[in-house]
Amino acid sequence: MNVSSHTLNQAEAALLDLDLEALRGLVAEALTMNPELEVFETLVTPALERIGRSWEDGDLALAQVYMASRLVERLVEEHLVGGQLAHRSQPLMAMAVLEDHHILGKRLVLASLRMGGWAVEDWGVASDPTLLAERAHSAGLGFLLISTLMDRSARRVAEVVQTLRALGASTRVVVGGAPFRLNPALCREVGAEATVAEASAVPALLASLVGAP
Amino acid sequence: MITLLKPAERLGAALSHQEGDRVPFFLAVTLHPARALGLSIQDYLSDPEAVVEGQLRLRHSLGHDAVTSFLHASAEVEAFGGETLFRTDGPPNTGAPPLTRASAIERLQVPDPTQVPALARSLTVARGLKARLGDDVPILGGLVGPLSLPVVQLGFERYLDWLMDAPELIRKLWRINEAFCIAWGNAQLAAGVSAVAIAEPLVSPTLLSGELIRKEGLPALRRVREGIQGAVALSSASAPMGSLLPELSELGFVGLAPSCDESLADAKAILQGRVALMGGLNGLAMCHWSPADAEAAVKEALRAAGAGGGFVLAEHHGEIPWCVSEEVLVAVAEAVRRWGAYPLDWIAV
Repeated sequence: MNVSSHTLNQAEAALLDLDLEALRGLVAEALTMNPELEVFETLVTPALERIGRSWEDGDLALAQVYMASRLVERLVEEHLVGGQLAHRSQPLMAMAVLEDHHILGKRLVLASLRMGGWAVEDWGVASDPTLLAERAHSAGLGFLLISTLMDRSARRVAEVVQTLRALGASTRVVVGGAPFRLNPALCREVGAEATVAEASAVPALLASLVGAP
Repeated sequence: MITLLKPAERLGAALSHQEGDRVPFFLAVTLHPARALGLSIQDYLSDPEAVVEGQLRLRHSLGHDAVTSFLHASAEVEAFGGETLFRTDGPPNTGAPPLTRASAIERLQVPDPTQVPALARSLTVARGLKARLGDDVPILGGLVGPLSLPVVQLGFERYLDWLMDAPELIRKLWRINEAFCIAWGNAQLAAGVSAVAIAEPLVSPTLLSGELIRKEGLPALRRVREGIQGAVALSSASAPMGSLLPELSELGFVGLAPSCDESLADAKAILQGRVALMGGLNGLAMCHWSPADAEAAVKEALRAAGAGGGFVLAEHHGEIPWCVSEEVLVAVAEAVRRWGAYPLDWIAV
């Protein structure tokens, strides 16, 4: 599906203006000619990615990214079939926040992933890295996504990775949150496989990781 | 002959945009004294006498130009029914948000900070430090700003959800927080602190929109600053102040601490002669520094912002991470003494 830059601009503006009706109209028009997942992947996801990049560049606020994501969540819910958009062929995935009650990252990432047709279980807040790793192993996860806010919590991802290794699990760990954004070396330091700076970039990251085991 | 100033005089010169004997520096060691005293972080922060002793010990070993009576940010959430979760290897964090229903905001009254045990401990620390140090060494108090408190009072998601769906509730909470911040700041001043530092990451246009901050946030911060009857500084706790820095500099704060991602030289140019700039040290990066890295970072900060006064070398976030070694802290202190003596002639070489 080819999306003109004008249409993409309109979708971005609708998201920033929190104009659900305008967004619905753009999606409905695209759906007359294209399948649902493709419309979300080529119209809504890029618009949200632009907003994410603008945040990364310092031109927009996290609150605006969050509110745009919430609008997308509503739109995705209107198109949900069995809990998500059309299924992808993918490994089992789950996402958890480590040790903190006060972050937005998980919701932003889940919204981006669901919009892209990824099925990801929401494991809420995990207070014990070892138990989180054991749960991931028991569940046979292919990917465990961990979000953190505090530097200390980010460093405890190392315990998750070590426990997974000790269990012989093949679960791959992807991390995100302020400590990893402010200190890019931390991702490798804790033994995680990858990180990205903002939520809307996670679907593309997972796509590349799934394609490159 | 070089006359060494007392720390209060050195900081006073910097805040007056004068060059004293050297660039003043302050390392916000809120956790490290526990290690020095052989106590757990929880035992240390729960014992005001230990905190006084710990602050004095670190002041002696580092020779920095202030001490702090600030204990931990989660203490303020306790005033609103929240809890503190202590860790053995990092700062305390807040537990689940205490205000989860609209009705809780509608009924909410401004808490009396002096009646909250965790805050009362901080006041005891301030009185203890004042008794030991008098007026020679400034004591910095601290508080979380009115825009940022809701992150821990409500949880960030609920905060932004209500900002979208029930903005009147958020405005009411901001007003309550303003009154609480003023009361808490004044209680600290009455207990002996020399200045109060407000940690307000939500004043960053990377977190809330610049439009909202200009409309609601800056007036709220001005009211808090005016309500606190003493010197007040503002830190965005690692979040960039960005395009708002010039407007923040008009609110009457004695010092501003932007993010470590922002150019110190640019910030100094904006604040020049009006408001002191605080910062220059990236706390997270410090965890990986060698003593040589510490010296290089100090020199870089001094080169960018040291000349002409108006600069206090400090860690941007407001708390030195637990993972930073004492060796690095000492290296920072030695580098300031070596390279920070005015005039900074070496910069021109």
